[in-house]
Amino acid sequence: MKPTRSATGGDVLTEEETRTEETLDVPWNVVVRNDPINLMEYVARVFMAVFAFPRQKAEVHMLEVHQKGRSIVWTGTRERAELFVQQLHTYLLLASIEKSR
Amino acid sequence: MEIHVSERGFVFAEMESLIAELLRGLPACADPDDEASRQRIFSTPTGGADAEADREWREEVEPDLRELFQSHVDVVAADVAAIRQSGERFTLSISAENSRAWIHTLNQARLALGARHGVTDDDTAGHRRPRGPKAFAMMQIDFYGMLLSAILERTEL
Repeated sequence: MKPTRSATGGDVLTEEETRTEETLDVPWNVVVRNDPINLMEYVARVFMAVFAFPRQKAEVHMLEVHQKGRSIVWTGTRERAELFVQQLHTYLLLASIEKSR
Repeated sequence: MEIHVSERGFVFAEMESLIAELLRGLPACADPDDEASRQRIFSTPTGGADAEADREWREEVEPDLRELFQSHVDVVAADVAAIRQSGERFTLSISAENSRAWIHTLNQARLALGARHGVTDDDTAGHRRPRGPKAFAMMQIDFYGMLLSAILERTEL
């Protein structure tokens, strides 16, 4: 809060409205980027373990990571996106979050 | 080298001394003791795009990850310390219970070696032939990858 001058000249306290990104809740992407070391089968298995993807979907994302350098593997709230990123980091994948456009 | 698999785990038998040494060196290889490997093993969630989020991650999440990763490495270090020698051959046993720690540590070692030696897609695809320490690191990465694949094939993540 910060003091401002009222129309009658007295100081009043006005509360600034703060709208956080969480309030607006724009979708966030979980992105996995390629690295030259991780085994392709390992990456697919991690997607199956973390997101409960069926093998075919896990392999599609794994191949996208490998061939295009990155894949958006999940989109949703920031809180859940951060949780997924944390899980992916426990498997040492290069995972990050970004705002969905 | 022979690989025996059962419900109880894995036995890597008839190993030559070089293989045993590579296994004994695994915990040290996995140690992110330089800036390049530290940045790879403990990468941040926004890669610098959101400095505040990355700072919070380093303070609140990274210590837990560090503890988790070290617990895996400790399991592997105990297993390789128990490698048995019979004449000129060596045997390593990995229990099913320890297999996930092995998967993690093998992967961490590969990633740390790759970061430490600047391994690129061109190196792993065989488009160029590295020399010197990098060539040895590539051999370690390949060998650890072979073990990782063998264990991963029979282990739930």
